[in-house]
Amino acid sequence: MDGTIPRHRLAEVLGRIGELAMDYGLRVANVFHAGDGNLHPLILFDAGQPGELAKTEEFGGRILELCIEVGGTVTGEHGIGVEKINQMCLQFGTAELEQFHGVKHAFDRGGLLNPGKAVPSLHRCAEFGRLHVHRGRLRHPELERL
Amino acid sequence: MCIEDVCAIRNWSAFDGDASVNGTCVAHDLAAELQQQVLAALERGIALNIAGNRTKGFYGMPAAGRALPVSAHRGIVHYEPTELIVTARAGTTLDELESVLAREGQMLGFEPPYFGCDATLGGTIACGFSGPRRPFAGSARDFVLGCRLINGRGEIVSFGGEVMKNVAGFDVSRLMVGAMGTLGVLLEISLKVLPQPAAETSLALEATPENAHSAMLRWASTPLPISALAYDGRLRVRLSGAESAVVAARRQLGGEVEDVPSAFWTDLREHRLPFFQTEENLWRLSLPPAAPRAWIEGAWLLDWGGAQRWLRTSAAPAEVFAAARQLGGHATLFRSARPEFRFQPLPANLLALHQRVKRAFDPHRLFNVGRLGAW
Repeated sequence: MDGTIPRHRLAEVLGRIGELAMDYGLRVANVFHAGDGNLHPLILFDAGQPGELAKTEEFGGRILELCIEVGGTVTGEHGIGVEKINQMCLQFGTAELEQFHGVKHAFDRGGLLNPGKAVPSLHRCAEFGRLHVHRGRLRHPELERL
Repeated sequence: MCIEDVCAIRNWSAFDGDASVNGTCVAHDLAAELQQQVLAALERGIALNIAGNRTKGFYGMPAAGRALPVSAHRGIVHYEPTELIVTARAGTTLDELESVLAREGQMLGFEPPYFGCDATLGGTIACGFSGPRRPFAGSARDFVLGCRLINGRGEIVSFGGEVMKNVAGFDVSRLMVGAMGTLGVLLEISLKVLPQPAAETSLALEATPENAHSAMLRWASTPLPISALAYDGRLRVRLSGAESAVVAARRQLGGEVEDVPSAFWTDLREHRLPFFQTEENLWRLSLPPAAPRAWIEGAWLLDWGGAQRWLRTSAAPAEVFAAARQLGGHATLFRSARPEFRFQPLPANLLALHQRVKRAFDPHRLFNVGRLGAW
């Protein structure tokens, strides 16, 4: 994990990560840059236990959502790649995501460079089920939602 | 602070939202009204010329369109001195912002030029101007953490944030720095701020241009607490940092200690030195610091340790652009009485890229068309 939060909310966020750890029944070693609020929680899990990896990934996603909730970001250093792409749907609204796609298209008109990474498609956000809704109106209602 | 001997002394006393701060200036959140104006312009196909307080109207080329006044959209939205961050509306004056920061012993690290008392934060960021501290602390772009803007579809969008580290999504907020309002209407800007140095002093040394240039290059690669390096016929050095470090560096470098450490640097930043009082074209060349002196006839002043060079000349623009390119940088016709093209011409592929980026933000060409170029 690599979320960043406003530094003055460190204690609160570490407390809530502890609560989440209890909820998920997993332990977390909180390694973080105290000086700039960049968190690298290490979730300990047993890969040999069926379902524990999925549970760990969900827990990680909840930590990132917590970072957004307190005014931070899902990634301070590592980038989005594919692992954190769903949380991009939470950190940014559809207008911002469309703007990112517009910028990408300006540099990569053929869509050759790492398609599907870094910025989620609106379809993906719809599938993730967490598309931002602005002023009570869902953008792109034509997209199928699961 | 602003240009102390020109601006009226103001007592900015509040940074919290919409409070009246000095009885005459009232902070307002006009984002929704500005958005409505943009949507109306979009519907009617009217181009908009984003207008702050016009302190930098001399820079770049004139934009087409109806004025969209934004300076009333002002006020500091959030300032957290312990986190070294501030978020302010684009119409907030630099004077107000820097006064509020100064009360907490903090400052804008990029030492922005004002070019007028009522310079706004939005205009400063849109122009991307940085002052003498830039090579030693960072540029305006480096200090931008996030922004909120209205794009050319009339949408209010936010990028970046108020945290020091953030690599989610493309770095759109920094794309706005120097875009001259061609990509959107800036509403709010979040900046990293810095503590003011504990001690500061300024030195002037006699030197030939060649000796001054080589000394600047040599000193810039040392751990001396240098915060500005310029040459205007004398080699000028500003030292900033812990008292002991400044004293030790002053002894090492020698030269004459200036009575008022900030005086020369404020005059340089604001183009109030005699060098800048000219009817000739004033050029800004951005070059590798070690680049040799260009062969253009004219008067030169070096700032940023040699990386920013001011040139007064009557040479043809094509000649200056060609020289800057050959030296590994670019030139901007900063001030001119003539309606010349001001910016270094771009190669065809880069020009096309700029135009595509413009289209991505402003597909209907609403904002500041012509300010940066033909798009």
